[in-house]
Amino acid sequence: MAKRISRGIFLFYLLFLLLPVLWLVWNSVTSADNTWVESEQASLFKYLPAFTFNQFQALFQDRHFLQQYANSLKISSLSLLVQIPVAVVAGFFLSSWKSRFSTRIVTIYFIMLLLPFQAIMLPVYQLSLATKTYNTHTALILFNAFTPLGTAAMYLLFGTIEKEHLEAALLETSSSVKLLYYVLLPQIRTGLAAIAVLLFVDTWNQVEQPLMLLSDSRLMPLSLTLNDIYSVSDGKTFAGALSYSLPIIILHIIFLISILNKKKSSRINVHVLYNH
Amino acid sequence: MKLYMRLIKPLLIICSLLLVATSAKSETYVKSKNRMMYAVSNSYIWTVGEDGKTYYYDSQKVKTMAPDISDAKRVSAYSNSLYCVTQQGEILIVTAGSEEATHYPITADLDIRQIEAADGILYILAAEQGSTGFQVYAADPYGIRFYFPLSIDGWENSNISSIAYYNGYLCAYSSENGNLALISFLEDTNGKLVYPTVTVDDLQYVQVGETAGDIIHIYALNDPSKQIQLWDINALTGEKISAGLPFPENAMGLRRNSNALFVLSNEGKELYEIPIHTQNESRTLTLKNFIGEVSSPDPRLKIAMELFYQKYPDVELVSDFITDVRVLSAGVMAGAPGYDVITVQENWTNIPSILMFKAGALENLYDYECVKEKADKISDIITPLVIDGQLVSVPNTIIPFTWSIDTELEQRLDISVPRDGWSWDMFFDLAAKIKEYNETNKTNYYLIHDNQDVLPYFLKMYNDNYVDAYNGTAAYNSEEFVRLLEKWVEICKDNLVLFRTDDGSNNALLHVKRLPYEETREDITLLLPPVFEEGNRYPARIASICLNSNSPMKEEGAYFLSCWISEEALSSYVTISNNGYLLNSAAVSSNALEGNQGVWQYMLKHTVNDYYIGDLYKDQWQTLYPQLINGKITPLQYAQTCQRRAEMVLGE
Amino acid sequence: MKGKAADALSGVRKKASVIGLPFIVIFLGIYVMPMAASLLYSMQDNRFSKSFVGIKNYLNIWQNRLFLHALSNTFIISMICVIASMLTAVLICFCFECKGIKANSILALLVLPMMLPSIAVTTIWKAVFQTSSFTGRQEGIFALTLLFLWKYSGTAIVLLYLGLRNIPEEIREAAQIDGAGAVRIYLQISIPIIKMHISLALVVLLMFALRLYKESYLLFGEYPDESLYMIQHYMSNHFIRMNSQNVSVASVSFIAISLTLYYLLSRAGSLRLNRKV
Repeated sequence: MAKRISRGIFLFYLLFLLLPVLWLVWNSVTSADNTWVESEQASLFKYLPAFTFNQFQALFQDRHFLQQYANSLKISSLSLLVQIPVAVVAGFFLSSWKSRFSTRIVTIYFIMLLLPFQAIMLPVYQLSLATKTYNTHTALILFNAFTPLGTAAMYLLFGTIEKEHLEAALLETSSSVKLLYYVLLPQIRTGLAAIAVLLFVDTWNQVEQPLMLLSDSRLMPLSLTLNDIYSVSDGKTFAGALSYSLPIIILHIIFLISILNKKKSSRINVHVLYNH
Repeated sequence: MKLYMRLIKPLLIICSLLLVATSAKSETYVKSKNRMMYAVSNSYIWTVGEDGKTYYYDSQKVKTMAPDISDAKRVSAYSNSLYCVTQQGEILIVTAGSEEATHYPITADLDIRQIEAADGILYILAAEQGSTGFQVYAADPYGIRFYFPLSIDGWENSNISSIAYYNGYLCAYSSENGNLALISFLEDTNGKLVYPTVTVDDLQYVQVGETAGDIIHIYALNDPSKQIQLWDINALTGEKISAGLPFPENAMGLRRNSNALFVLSNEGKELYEIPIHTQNESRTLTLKNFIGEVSSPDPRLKIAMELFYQKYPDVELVSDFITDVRVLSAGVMAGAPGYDVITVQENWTNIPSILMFKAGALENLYDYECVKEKADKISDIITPLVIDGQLVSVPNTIIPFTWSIDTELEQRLDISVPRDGWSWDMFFDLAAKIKEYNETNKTNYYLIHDNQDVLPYFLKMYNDNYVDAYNGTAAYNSEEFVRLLEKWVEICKDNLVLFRTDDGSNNALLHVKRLPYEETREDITLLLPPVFEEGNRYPARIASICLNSNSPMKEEGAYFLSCWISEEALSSYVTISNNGYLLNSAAVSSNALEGNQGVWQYMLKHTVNDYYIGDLYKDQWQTLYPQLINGKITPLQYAQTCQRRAEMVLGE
Repeated sequence: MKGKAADALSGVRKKASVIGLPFIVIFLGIYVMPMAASLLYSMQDNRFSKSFVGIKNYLNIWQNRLFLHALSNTFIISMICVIASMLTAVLICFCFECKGIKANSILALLVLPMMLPSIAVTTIWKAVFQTSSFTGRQEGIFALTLLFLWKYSGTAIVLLYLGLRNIPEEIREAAQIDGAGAVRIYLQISIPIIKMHISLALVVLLMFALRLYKESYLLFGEYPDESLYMIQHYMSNHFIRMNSQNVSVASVSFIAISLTLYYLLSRAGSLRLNRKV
């Protein structure tokens, strides 16, 4: 009985989640004439659908679109590559260092995490001008690399590790790298994967940051065209939205499944330390 | 995970290096893996790599990618363009910000050794096929369709080995006989020797130098047989002394902008910057969102630029465009380079000039004597640009929404429409007459055809006259407005208003048009629109130019604005809309309403700026007005909602 | 902690600080330094004359009715969104616990809405709810919360689920033997165990809730109904109008309020960030 109810609830939730996505897919493969999107009285379906892949074809022949796509991939993946080690090390440091000062630093991380970007938009722009990194991907990647989200999330994740496990491990080794790598990280592996996804999506969907730090349209990521409040919905929007999301979703599906299907290793294998 | 652990150390090093690299000052301007070529203008430094990768750097050294140029042979830059002669015998012109280069095949049969770009001209050091001596030619940059050797009295144009062009001066050196000449194109476009040629031995590269005590100097590098040094040569006497500037050991080429000299390392992989200590650092004045381009100026801009360069020959004017309002705000607030003089088009710019002025972002132009003097001459037409007694901007174009009348129809309907001094009540009285005529004669005449904007003229006029964005007040709550709005809704219901459509315009008595001055033809009859009360002004589309308070070049910017509204510039003929009217209308002293031009000029002197104030007006045309006409809300509700919205938007 | 382990820990800490501290310093440079600049701007009359006016801006802006509205709306709407998502996440995770669904295979699906660009998605909401700047309080908050639920509740589910699957089966079995029902085991045993994951999910949700501006803008425009007007609207509108002092005052106020709330909550102990390492 409980199983049935829970299944019912979940299916309902799934439907809620999927309906808009299906609508998006539908729109991306039907007639490209979507001028009604911006009309005063928006409605869901106004025309008889005619299936077409013209919108996708048009997108992938657009050099500008491809260039921006490549920029998005470059910025997001390079940012992630730096974000993870920064977050792991800083998070580990903050969670292992007990003092009033560290508590304050953690508070700053959390406050900065919640603060809207508009609050520091102007000073960040000025900083990039002053350091002469304005209009470079480096500025954007550097800015993202130290995002408070990564460190704050890692700080919380390290908090989930059981004290006893840590003590047992500490009796065997005093190498911090070994401790981090063989004892701590395996325990939070799944959490780390989830945070990696969050960080990636966070960068992938950024609008204001590239807007402020880049001026050359050839350096801009795709989110600026597809995700900004001033973008205009036209025939290509839906196809764009899908093309923009699908590869990333596929990547994440592969990533998540591979992480989750690995044997659980939340138990610490202290003996593993002897071998290293 | 292992990968990440291994990456931590190198990443740390990279991060710290990045920080060091961005903070440390170095003589090296650009370092590249490949050999490169470079070109310098006052606006940008360009580098073209062996692999074709082309970049340009602005005065803040911000690097931007330009379209690739493969097989570049000779390069030179002027203003915001790079000119490049390729191995394939083409001239490529790349403009900063453009996505592609323009190609021009070279038709001339020349062996080109060096090019120097100037305003619309290329100076070429070349030898005609077959001859051995190199001469200096003047040519057009669009494929060298025509060219001729420079012929200047007192100078022998033969066996030249190096040339350089900067700010209207060309210097040419012949290593064969040591002749060094300095030619000026400032007064005579054919060129004139500034001083008689002097003889200086063992030079390789020359460049126009600074003026010291009225005498122009020349920078030069000696030939590589000795240790390379930077020399400062008095162009009058030929006296050669060390320039006393820090200088790298291996160097070739010698180019400059207003701030620095640039030389390339021997391997061609490192570009050095040698700062020249002149009075100012940034010498580029940017016209932001300017309507028109500095690189291809219309007559008005051309004259304004000429006037400007007479006073500031060392400041370069550039224009560029930015559409995102957030970037514009950030740039203006930060005082970032490139936000000096800003053009506002009030009907679509998301931030109207009045709010920029309120924020303190704009200079009061009356504080600048040069602008005040010019502005006073057109004082009665720039009233909409004056807020609180301060001049916020100078006009680009001012075009009022004019009314015209179909006189034939007026006769047929047997009514007489006042040509001026009438009120909206009188306007609505006309409606009753037409309604009656339509009913008796089974006709379908409209009182007014209004398709010039998203809101009808009636509401536009009220918005523009009774919303004060500067003081943050609005007056939609007045009983008078609600009463008139009721009448307006009534005539709309009676089908007497043809709104936002072009059909059947022949059936309307009155027409609203945004008519440029030169289109005040004789076959139409203009009249003054009705008013809510005496003293109302007429809505107009205004594009104007203002000056950023944070700009480091305020004096220069103000001077440009004064050139922009100078008599010379205003009276020039511009094809899109004749700017002469600004001057002519101002000159007409009487308020006579004779003929179409008289009406037009009267309106011009009584305009109000049609500011677009964010969501306030968008709500009106997108939601409220359709609801009002469809009877979903009453005029009173309309007025109350508008007032509430206005208080929110203006009182934020 | 026992002696040897404590020594080892301090050694490890030292090493961690060698590499951890520079990262924190860079973070402070990139994020906190601009915030300090913002604090300075909040005490200048504007970014142009740059004259120091002390707390005058604060006094003015704290009297602005709209600003106060914005603060309370931000708080209310964020809370509604976060609580609704959290409850959904707890409910759905309970469904997972009942073993009726293979959760692993659909986890990726749950984060999918987060990846779709807002501009495309809000089109649907606009069509269904017919939103405009005149949408009233209840419909507005309903549409916005639903959008938030759709977009981010999946993320909360994933974060909670990752915690739940690490709970050893023996604990639940032991509770079952003691006669506890599924709901009781879930609420009284499983949920308290994963409180760190819950904090993480709460923080992430709160972060997203405070970034709801883009969606709100697309649904209701620059100036929505007063009851939907949030602090981000205030900041964005003033940024565009070049009033950096207003943006700065708003952000400093936001920080001050967050700190006060954080302090009060951590005193109450409900959100204390326990450190176990």
